[in-house]
Amino acid sequence: MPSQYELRAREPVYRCLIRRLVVPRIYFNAAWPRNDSDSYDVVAIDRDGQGDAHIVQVRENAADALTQVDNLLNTRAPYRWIAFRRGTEDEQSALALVSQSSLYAPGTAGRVGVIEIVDMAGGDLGANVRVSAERFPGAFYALSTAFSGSHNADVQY
Amino acid sequence: MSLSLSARVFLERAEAFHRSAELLGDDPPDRLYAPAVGLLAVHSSISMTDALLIQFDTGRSKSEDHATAAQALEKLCSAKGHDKSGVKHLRELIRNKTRFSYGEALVRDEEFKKAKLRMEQFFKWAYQTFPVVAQTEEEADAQPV
Repeated sequence: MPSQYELRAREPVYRCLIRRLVVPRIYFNAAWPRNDSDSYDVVAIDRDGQGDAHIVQVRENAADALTQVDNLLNTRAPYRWIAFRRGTEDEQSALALVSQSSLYAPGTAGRVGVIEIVDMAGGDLGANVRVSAERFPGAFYALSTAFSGSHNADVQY
Repeated sequence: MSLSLSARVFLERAEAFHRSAELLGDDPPDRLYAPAVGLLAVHSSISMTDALLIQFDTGRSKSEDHATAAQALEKLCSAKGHDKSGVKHLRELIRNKTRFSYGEALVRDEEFKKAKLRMEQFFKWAYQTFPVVAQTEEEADAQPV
């Protein structure tokens, strides 16, 4: 079950993503790409649900977030992200984030992106991209269209 | 159908203007940038229209009177049997272009905010009506998953 912090962090995470997107549809705790699939903390589908899907797993600390990467590498979405609270890296996760090698899938293009959640003045949370996600190859638009056509967005323009 | 290179130039411009309008129009500092948001809303929508007209070989309007672009877009929709409802947002934005840019009269912030809403609605309509501008990144030979 997500912690209070992880639930709160979903908003700054999606706000961070929408700076890169145009009239996206945002879904929280969404089973991507179908109802019987694994669920993701934030799914953002660009261009009014017709474009690229960005899926994000949010964890309070870096090590937990990094454990999500293997699953993300096997997910069908063009853009994949992890998000965690800045300053929670232990030695192993800090090294992994510096080398970035675990963010790539062998033998294919694409990189899992990293978003840092930041504690700001007044107890507010913000989020910034630390490592940009790179597009994974594949034909995913039909998944986006099917998903946005069958699910109600939590945030929509 | 994939997006032509020329259409892509206009689409990228349209989306850059759109993102800028969203960034500047984000509260709380929207009061500071309201006139810029209005102008970006107009120009992003004109660029999106140009992308569509070029993609479908209707030819971009070179006239300073962008109302002709709205007419051309409506014509394109008729020719393809598409819903035209989004064109009204474009027309309204174009109607305000000169006033937002060069007019001497004060423009209320609410009008700039409305322009931003119209831009968002126009883009939503464009992506839904012409998916080719929403689905631009996949390689032509990508296999369905």
